[in-house]
Amino acid sequence: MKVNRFQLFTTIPVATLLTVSLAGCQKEEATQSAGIAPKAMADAIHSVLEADRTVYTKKVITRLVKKEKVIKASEQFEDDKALPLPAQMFRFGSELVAEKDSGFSYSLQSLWPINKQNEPKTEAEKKGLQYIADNPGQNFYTEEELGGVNYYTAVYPDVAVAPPCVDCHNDHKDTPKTDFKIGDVMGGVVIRIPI
Amino acid sequence: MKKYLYKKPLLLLWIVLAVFTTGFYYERLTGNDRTTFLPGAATDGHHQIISDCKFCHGDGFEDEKVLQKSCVSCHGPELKEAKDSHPMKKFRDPRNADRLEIINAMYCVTCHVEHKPERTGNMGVTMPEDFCILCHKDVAKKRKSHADMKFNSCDDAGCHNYHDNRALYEEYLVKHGNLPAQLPKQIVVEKTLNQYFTELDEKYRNSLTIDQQDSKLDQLNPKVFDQWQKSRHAATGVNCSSCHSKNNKWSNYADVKTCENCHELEVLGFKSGKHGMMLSATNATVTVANSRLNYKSKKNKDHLSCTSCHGDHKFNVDYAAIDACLNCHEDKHSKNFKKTKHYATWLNTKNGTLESTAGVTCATCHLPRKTVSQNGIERTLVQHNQNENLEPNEKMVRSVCMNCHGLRFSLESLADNELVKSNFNGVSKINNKGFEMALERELKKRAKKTEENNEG
Repeated sequence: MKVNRFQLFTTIPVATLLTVSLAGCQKEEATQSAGIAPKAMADAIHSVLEADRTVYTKKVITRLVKKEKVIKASEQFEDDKALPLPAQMFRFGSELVAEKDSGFSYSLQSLWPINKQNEPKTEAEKKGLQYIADNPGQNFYTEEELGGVNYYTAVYPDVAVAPPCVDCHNDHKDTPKTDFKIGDVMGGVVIRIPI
Repeated sequence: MKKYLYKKPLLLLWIVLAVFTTGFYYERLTGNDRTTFLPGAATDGHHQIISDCKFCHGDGFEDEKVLQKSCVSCHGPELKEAKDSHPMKKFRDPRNADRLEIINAMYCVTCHVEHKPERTGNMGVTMPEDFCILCHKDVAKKRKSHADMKFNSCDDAGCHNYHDNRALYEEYLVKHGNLPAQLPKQIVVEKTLNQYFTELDEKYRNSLTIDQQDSKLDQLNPKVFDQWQKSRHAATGVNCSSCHSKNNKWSNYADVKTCENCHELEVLGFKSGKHGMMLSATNATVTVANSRLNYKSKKNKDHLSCTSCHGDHKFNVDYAAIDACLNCHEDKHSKNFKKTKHYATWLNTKNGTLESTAGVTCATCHLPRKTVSQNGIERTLVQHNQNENLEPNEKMVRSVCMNCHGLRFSLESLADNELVKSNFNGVSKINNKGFEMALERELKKRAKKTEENNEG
């Protein structure tokens, strides 16, 4: 087959362009298939956080403080030689994760916070915490921009799983709500993943 | 050319000046002392370490993370121990992005800008004194008691501290607020250096006599040997060669490094504090003349080392704890020490009227005892880094004052500047209302609980 000069000069650039575009598409597909969607990642992180939080509350706090009465749990656990509260354990973990620059962040917040620093601040937090309080058992997902960075933000209900949760919150001198019951949504876990 | 230069004296002068100036700045750029290039005088906290820019700035001036790393390398352990109330990790959460835009709490230099003497306040803070308002402007919504308070009064009366609130948090005030001014028993924790060494190695149990000294000197100074024999060194088997011989070579002199061989943690504290930080940064030891304080012996050019306070053969810790300090320090606080009840307790421990653990010296407060773990052995040492509890002074409440006094008495005494100057010779005029506020909230809580229980 004879190929003239015009065909040659038009075919080569078109072929090159096609090859590059296809390679780009393949790369994108590969990235998508190898990566994990933000929602799936947030859900996975939350399932670990929720499990650890429940285990600490039931197997450590409830057992040692309420049932066996061998040690106290206290906000000033170092001075009082006591166990850290479940909310403190959660915060210490989130601060360690933040120190490692792990690519995501999480925090525990509430519409009825004992520490005012833990009330919702951003619009996404306000909407999300209200949504999970109004719709028990459901999560809230959205996107938001903070400090020039876009985040996938997920809010999960934080439910009172044991008597120490409601007792401590209802009795605290800074609590704005004193009638929590086991099974109530007391707050929410907010997970952010930069996108 | 020569003829030409004779005709042009101004040109010759310019050439000489250019050569001189170039040589001067070349020497300054390449030498150890680069203070010529300082953009402004350093703070009192850092003035001893500024001759080598690299100590803080590393190899360049562009990356603020380098500077932050330098801050943390010196101040990090202290902040960690203080359970810093505003640590960097709290601000990494993206939900604080709006706050960081107002005040970037991720970097120490946001509040502690160096080389800006015209706007540097207490403790090297360069922020306006009401900076708390930037994040806590709605504090009165939850704390009605704070409604009429000004935002430049947060740290008045020793109420709040940006970093260290170990003695100031609400539950602590409730728990310890009712303690009497004088606790029933005053106890200064005893240091356990001797116990540590004997536990570490049996050889320190064997005391030495003058006949066992291993000096390599031909002529012996009887005074020196008498001092050594009466010292803790002779009592714990530390012979002349331990300090004066290195690689079998005798030296008449011993320096800080010599002491560091055995007293590692004490020297670490010394090198972190006001007396030894210059040594850490520049390899030169500080002199009284270097200090910004008003000393009576300002012309003293002697370099400060361990032996400046401890003596070079006596190692008299009683002298080191009071008179060594007063030998240089002559501010009002120091000069008043010997007029105080603190000093009277010290004299009484010496004449046997009081227990040995009840005496108070300069070192009791400024070089306090601290329990640490070294080589797997727990021991109580003298913290030679006086910066650790110096400023703000309520940092010394838990580690020092409360060994003998109640919390409220301690905080109110430290908050009264005139009383501090008199070296606590009198009673504080400060009323820390925080105690009433904390107690009122606690009583309300208890009353509510009782009411609920009665209803239940």
